[in-house]
Amino acid sequence: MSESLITQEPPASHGVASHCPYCALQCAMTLTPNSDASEPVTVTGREFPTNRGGLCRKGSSAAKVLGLGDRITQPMIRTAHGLEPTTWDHALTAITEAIRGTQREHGRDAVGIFGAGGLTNEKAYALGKFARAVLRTSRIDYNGRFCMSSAAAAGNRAFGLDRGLPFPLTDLDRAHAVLLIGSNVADTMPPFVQHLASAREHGGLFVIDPRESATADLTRSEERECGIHLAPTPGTDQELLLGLIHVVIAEGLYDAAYVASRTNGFARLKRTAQRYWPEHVQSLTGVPAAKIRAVARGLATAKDRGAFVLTGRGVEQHTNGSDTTSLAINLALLLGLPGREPGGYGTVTGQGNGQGGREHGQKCDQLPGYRSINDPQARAHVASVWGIDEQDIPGPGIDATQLLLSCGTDHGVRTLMIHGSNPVVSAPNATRVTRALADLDFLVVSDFVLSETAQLAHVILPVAQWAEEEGTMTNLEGRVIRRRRALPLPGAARDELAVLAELSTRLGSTMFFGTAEQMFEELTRASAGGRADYSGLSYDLLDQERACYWPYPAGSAGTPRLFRDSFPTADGRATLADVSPRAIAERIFDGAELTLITGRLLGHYQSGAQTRRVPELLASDPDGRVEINPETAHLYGVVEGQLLTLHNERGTVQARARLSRQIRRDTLFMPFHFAGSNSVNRLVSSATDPLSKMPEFKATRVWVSQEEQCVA
Amino acid sequence: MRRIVIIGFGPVAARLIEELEEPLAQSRVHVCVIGSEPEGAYNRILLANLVTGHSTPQDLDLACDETNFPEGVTFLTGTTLSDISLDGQYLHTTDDRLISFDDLIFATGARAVLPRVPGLDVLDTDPCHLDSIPLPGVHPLRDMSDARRLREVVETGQDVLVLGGGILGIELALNLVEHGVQVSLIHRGQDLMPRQLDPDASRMLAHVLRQAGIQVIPGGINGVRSEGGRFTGVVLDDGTVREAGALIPAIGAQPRTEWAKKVRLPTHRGILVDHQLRVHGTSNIYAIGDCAEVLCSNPVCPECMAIDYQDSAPSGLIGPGWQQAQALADILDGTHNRVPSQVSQLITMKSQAVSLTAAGSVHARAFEQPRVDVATWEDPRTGRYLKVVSRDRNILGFVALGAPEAGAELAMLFERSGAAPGDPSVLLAADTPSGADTAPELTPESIICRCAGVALAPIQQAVSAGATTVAEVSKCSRAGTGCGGCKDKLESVVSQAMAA
Repeated sequence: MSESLITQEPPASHGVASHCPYCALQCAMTLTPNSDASEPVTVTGREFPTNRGGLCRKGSSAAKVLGLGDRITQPMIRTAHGLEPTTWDHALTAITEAIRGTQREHGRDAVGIFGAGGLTNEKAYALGKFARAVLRTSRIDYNGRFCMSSAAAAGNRAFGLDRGLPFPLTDLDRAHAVLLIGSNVADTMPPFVQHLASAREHGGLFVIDPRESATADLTRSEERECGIHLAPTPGTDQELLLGLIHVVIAEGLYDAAYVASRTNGFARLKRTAQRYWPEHVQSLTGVPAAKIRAVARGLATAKDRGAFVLTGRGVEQHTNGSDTTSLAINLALLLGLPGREPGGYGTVTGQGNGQGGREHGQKCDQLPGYRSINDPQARAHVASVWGIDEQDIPGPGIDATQLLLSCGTDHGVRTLMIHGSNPVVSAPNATRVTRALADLDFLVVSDFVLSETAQLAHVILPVAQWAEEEGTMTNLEGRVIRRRRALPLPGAARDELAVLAELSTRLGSTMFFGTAEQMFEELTRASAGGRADYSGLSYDLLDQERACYWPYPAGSAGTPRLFRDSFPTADGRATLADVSPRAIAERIFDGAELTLITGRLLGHYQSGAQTRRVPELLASDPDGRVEINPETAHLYGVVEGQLLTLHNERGTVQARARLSRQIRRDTLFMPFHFAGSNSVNRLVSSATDPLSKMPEFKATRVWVSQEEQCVA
Repeated sequence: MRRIVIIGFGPVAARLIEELEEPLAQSRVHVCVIGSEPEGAYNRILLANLVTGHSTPQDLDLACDETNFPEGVTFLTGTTLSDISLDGQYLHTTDDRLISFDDLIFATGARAVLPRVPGLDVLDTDPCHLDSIPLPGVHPLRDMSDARRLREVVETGQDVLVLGGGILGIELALNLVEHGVQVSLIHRGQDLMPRQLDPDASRMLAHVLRQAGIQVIPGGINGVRSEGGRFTGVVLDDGTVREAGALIPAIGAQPRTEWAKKVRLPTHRGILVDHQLRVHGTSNIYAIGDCAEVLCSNPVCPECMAIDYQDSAPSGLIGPGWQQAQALADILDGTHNRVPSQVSQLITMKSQAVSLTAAGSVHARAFEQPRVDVATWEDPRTGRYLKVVSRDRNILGFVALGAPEAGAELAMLFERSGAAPGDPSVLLAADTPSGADTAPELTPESIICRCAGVALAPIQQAVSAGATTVAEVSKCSRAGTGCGGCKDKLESVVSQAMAA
């Protein structure tokens, strides 16, 4: 075979061992610098438990983002002529003046920080510290509010702790049954699918999704049934889960000894579940009663050999998302799964550092170590690490949705710094959010591409990308891993940690901001004694490529599996939350209107700011098509490829129709990776879950009209 | 503190107590609940699971007891009444307790109707105390003790006769036959479930039941045989005798209105209540559940005007009963609420073997009425029957037999007053074997590896460029480098390309 066609494995000595810039699976890869400016490192999959050497097309093309022609390598500042290149000194002076001016005129809380779940642990920690100890503002939150907040709230409520997967992902390789609720891993993190093989082999892959997604499709194969797909009408997840719980209780399939010795709240849960017998649930959800029974029994049969309940954004991103997640946890607890090996409940974290990002203090109500900002002891501990008075740490702030909507208002945020996020595309009610951002006195965006949000900035700071920086990430398992530098920073780009250090000094603060390793060392001290305790970790340890799962207190060897003997709650028991179905913000009752759900495509990541710039990814998915059932399309007189207008009281979006039998007749699906008139979050409401403050991303009432004749 | 007394302790009474949790916690009310059965409230709709051994009594327990309501509720189980005084606002029990009330709630439920045939002496003496078994071996399935006795019969492997062609009888027969019990279903008239099914659907159901192993016998019974004080068989309409270990009458339920009648409260089939569940002509007496008939006395109530008095009756379903309990809790606590007089007529068969969902009026035939669309699919070979009756896409009624996906979807739409599909035949698709069973013909553009987005063409090119193994093809095309899910497909594609 001809040599030229085969990509040679790079010699290990030349490659840098790191991880993918995208999702929480954090596939391991080797980065080998080369002389190709448009793709300055060669990416090859590296053997690692989560990806086993595999990469999806996002990961394998990730290096293209490093060599983009429109990469920002120079600070930019807004002038009368628009955004123009400037010097760091000029840019930082402008920022410092804006912060000082805003603080003087409107108070400390008028300066805000908006972080991200894609930032390294060090940056997440540094942002929290910068907000609380330098700016002394309570106004910090992050885009993870839009991802993991419901699962986090439910996990904390049930277990007293929130680690996405409280077990190594490879435990799934021994599964006899896996119930995936609202998660489409086959598109969002394809190498994950390897870990579903065992459940599929045992006929135990159960998927709940209103769409027959690529993941739901895995319940079938040409040879045999691999599992069952349940497709409830949107907004009825809670009823469906109560139906499963009903069967487990009514047929005595639960683990009575576990429930009696390790949980609280069974009597009330049982009472509520009695009201949801499968035939009743069928009439609420559209899911046949027989299938509900089959899934409940399938899970229960596997409970002693390896059964898992996993949730994703599909059920979590609702105004009742934390309650729905609690019901999923209840089901797992009834079957005695949490703490069993193999077995358990987990949430499939989405963003690259979606786990670490929610632990180190960039949440509005949180301090490092996954501590509550209201806890006097936690405040005292963190204050001592920062060398400040506990009184000087602000109290809890406001959630991401409120923070963004407050921008530019009288008592809201007037100067905002955004790091690693593109809320113009990703925030709910995006049109209103965009207007609010435009109303700011001053907007600073740290990014490496001219994202839709960066385009609104007064100052853009060019920062490092994944392959240009050192740091740590905490993957979906709670395993802490190293991100390593393979390339120098291009042009005048700087590391965000260095930027925060400089700004801190310019603002007259003596707070310490050092290198990634120094920040990590401080982070581990700040986390000591917290729920997410990293105090036994160091770069030296991580560089040995040891499997390090938090909590990792000093002197321990970490915690690959949680909850074996007890739960970190006051009495050591888990809580079965008493949840009764509550209507989501825009629940559609009559079945005549259409519900828009949103999600991801295989070829794109988050707001698409990176992946839309990769030619082969853009080619495979050039725009956000709206999936519509052919029967629904027929009723509306819509044909394949036709440009449709979706609208509601919040806005209007345009998208081409993609006819698909894989979607319910009452449901439309649209991906959220696209901008402008193709940006689906313009339709999404800013109503939030009372507990988690998660917006209602996945059930939006829309009306459809046709724009023009068939073009495709 | 208001004293609320509930007569009857079934699932509806239990739900009422649960819904009163807040006023109970705030000591605004005190509840006394009186049940004649020795056990606390249990979920009656799951009784059949006890007979088949699928559930234990604990699984059915509604946990409405002192543990969960340590304060404010007096639970009197195994207690019967000897007197009610509405004027004096007190009850007297047979164990000589005097219980006074501010609000009295009838939640007495219903009892099974027994066939009036020779050999079965149904006593009509004092109906207030009539719940005894007329003949051992004849057991309707209404309470825990019925279930226990039927369980004994089933365990000894004897044949069972179910009398009644309604949904409860059929469900029970299916449940038993699934657990290896020899079952015959005897029903009056020609059609099964004549109110919910059109004749064609009835015929298909009988066919399906026979296929499931149930002997379906139309015509009814003329007498009951017994020996030594125990049931031994029935005499059928045509005079033949059929022997069996037990007879389960499932020919309907009769609301327990004896006490209401005794104290001269207005009754029809059930105790007559208005939309606030108040018994007609009273201010502090209520009725909920299977004993309550919601039909108000307001002559211009549009809801109740639409009801034919002859057809009016309690629904006999747990869903409306629980809805009433919820509403009554609000009303007792001074919050406005109301219940409708007409409830959904959706029925769903609880069975593993036969899937049947039906609702509304299904007797219309195609071409009969203008603007009424009737679509029917009937296939005895697969036991599938689907009928959708609609007007302007509003579902008036439907039957889905042997079509669980269509049934579930239609049930959901019917309950939400949702729109029927423009072409109801799309509903059949979900119940037929999926088209994914046969792999489609591959074209050069067919995606083989989804993760890396690799189509057939580059794989074929890799082979023609010299790749001989899947690993080599993977290296140069990236196919199979993601989740590995396409490994089998890739192997066959590579071997085919090599052979070409």
